[in-house]
Amino acid sequence: MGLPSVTANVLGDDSLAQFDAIVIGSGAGGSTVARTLALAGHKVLILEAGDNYFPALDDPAGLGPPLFSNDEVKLSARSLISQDALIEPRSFRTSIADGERTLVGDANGLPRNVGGAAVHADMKFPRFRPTDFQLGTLLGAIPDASFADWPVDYATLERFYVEIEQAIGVQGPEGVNADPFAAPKSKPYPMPPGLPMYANTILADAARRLGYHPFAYPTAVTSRPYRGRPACIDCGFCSGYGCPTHAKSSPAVTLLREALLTGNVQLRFNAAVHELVPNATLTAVDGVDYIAANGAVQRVTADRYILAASAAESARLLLLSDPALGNSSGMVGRNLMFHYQTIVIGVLRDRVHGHRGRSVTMGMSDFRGTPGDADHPLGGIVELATSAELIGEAKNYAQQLGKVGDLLRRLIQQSPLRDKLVAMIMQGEDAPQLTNRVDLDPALKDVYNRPALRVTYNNHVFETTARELYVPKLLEIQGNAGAQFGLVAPPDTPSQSRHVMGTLRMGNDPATSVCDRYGKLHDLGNVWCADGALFPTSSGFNPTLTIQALALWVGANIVAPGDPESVLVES
Amino acid sequence: VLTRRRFVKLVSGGATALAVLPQVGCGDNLHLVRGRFFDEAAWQTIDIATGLILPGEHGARDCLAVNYIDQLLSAFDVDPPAIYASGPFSGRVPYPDAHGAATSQFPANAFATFLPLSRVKAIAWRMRLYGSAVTDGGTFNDAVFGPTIGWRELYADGIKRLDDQAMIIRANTPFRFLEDPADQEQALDTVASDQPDFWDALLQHTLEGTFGAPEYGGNLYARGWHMARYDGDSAPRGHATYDEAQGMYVDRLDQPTSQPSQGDVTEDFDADILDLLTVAALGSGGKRFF
Repeated sequence: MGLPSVTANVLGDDSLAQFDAIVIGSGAGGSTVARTLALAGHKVLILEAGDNYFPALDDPAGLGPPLFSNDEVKLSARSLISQDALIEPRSFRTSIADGERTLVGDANGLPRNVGGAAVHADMKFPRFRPTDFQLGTLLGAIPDASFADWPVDYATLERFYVEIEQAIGVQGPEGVNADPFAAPKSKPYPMPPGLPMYANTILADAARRLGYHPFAYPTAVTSRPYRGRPACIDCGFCSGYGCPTHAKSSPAVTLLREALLTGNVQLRFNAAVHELVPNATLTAVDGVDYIAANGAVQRVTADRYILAASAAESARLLLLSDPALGNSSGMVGRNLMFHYQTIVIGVLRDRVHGHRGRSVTMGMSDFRGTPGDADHPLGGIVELATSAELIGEAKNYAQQLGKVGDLLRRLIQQSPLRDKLVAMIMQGEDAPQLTNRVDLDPALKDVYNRPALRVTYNNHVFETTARELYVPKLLEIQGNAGAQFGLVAPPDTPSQSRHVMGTLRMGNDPATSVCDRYGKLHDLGNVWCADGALFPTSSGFNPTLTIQALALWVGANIVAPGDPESVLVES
Repeated sequence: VLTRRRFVKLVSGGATALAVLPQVGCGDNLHLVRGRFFDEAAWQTIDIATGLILPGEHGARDCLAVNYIDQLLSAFDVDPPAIYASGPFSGRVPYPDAHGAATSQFPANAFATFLPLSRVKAIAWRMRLYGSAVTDGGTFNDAVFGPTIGWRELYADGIKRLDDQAMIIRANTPFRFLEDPADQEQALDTVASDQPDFWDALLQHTLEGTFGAPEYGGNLYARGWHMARYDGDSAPRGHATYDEAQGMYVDRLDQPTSQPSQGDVTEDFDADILDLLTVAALGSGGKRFF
């Protein structure tokens, strides 16, 4: 066994040559399922399309510094980890009636790097509520929507939530300080909340005065030294940035590192999977072809294959391989969901320095609503947010408003859209629809010469109705907070959400779902999915914790079928 | 989390038309430095143009935004290419002590070196700088969607267009020798309209060169951050520290996260910005609360 790896573009044991499982993607889902399998002794190969910015991730002697930094040019202007739309473009349209596409560029792309999209996230980590798993039953039939119950319920997943919260390190409030509407937990968060950002407390105070219930946002960031990682320093470069101190409990520095250190895992990065190689009857997968760092195509094989490339990309991989693969239901790529984000901004006369802190430190779930209650429709959790980026602010004034010269200078100095801005972002439930989907663009390619992913997506009246009801309430909070102006962001088309869900829906009926309740594809004997593609519905809460809890459930059922809880060690 | 594109849609919904180009900036010395991509004439031309975009003390020219642009356009002249500065720390900020106070120990400046590019990232950045047609592996969409024009070509052409426009305004006078600020504005305004891709690149690069980390060649002495009252990179000290002895977090006194900064006072926006915000708020379906 050789740790750390001395082979270029490889982490983990570079001597491994035979594998029990191949996991495609090293993000929230892939890291979690790889760790579960590796701890049980399975030999695992992880294939990651992006680069690695954790040079010592597999070093038993210590994690060592990452290559991330407080650098807006690097992470934002030049998109170190974001999907680069020049070499991996996507296309977009709202419906088939639009023609082949109406946009080429970025459509809900997620970061490409070891650790996946969670590296860029600010890791807000609320759980879903029990009713979020039962919306098919609770909402009944809704025209043009395809709400469905999850084939697992909250009670089943509760200990899996605990395992993730404890294993990676989540800070959050308890008792009277917690979200009064939150799901019951069997174990407290391992860390209390850190300091709230000033900008967030202004909105929270206003919300409280109006009778709402703001709370410290459960967040996968350390607020105490935790399992070898330091407490967060609130550097301010959180959302959109890799953490320079490892305080962010991203899957890379927690579960993935743990997996790599077992000696049972090899991770090849800059390794973009080209296709799954199915058997002749399309009942199993015999191998995976990927494009290695040097551009050569390589084939690898294992007993099991686990898709964890993100909701959109996992479905795309099946379609790239064979449109019929895993697709007897015709559901591959369908029921694509984002959170429907309603954003109301307040501009204050005081500076709130939104560039200091963890991007979002408080939230409220008063607008999540109740299934079936027309007076309280299903919106979502509201993030109390700010704006942090200076270059981004200046570009908005110059490139979008066309303000240059002296007025640009005054805008930057008076800073209405950064240093005096407070925002509320509601992550609203997005109704699943069969027509909202990913497929392959007929002409557009990526740098690997693969057909590009196409997003077809339009909103349902379900979410727009909720938005209309909650916008005035959000504006009222801004007014109470002392804002001079309240601005309502128009809905994004295409959606700017990075909460990508659906496309390989899990369910008990092979006619209406792609995967079963254990994440295994109904049609394939040796392929599983372990990412947000499984979600039958989107909920109104940030998805990463549930992606990880579900991936743990998938992995545990592979390792210990019939007794998945036996693999849990934290609860 | 708020992304830039969300702001775009938000504010542009109620925005007024493109502003008339403003007065020339501080009018300081031309930098008699030859760039790696720009020759001296090109350097002076772009330097003046950046000053028109963001004028004044500690504006784009004071920050040497032109040097940022030159370093970007010539990024592949060095190895590794000067695209992504390394990390985690710049060395501008010291380590904190156990209670959050500054120590005299500073980390090394990792920003001073650059990260190697993967094969596909190198293709992406060569496409951006040189264009897809001359980039090995970069033509995968050209047949159907047309080629990507590189920034180097855009700048070279844009500079020529600026000179062409200048000589229409003043015979035999290249852009860099125009003396009347109104002439400079007129020439740049025309090129901005006629060459939108160049103008868009020039805008974004001017702002990145004014407000980006100094290691990328601009924001000289962090003047841009000073002008914008922005802290810049803050790690490894950050803005709060978990004090293990006290068992609690403590705000950094001079740059707190959970409280107002000492000395901050309530500020009124000027009339132009109030008008802009009023239009944006009402146009978005929002409110003006006073």
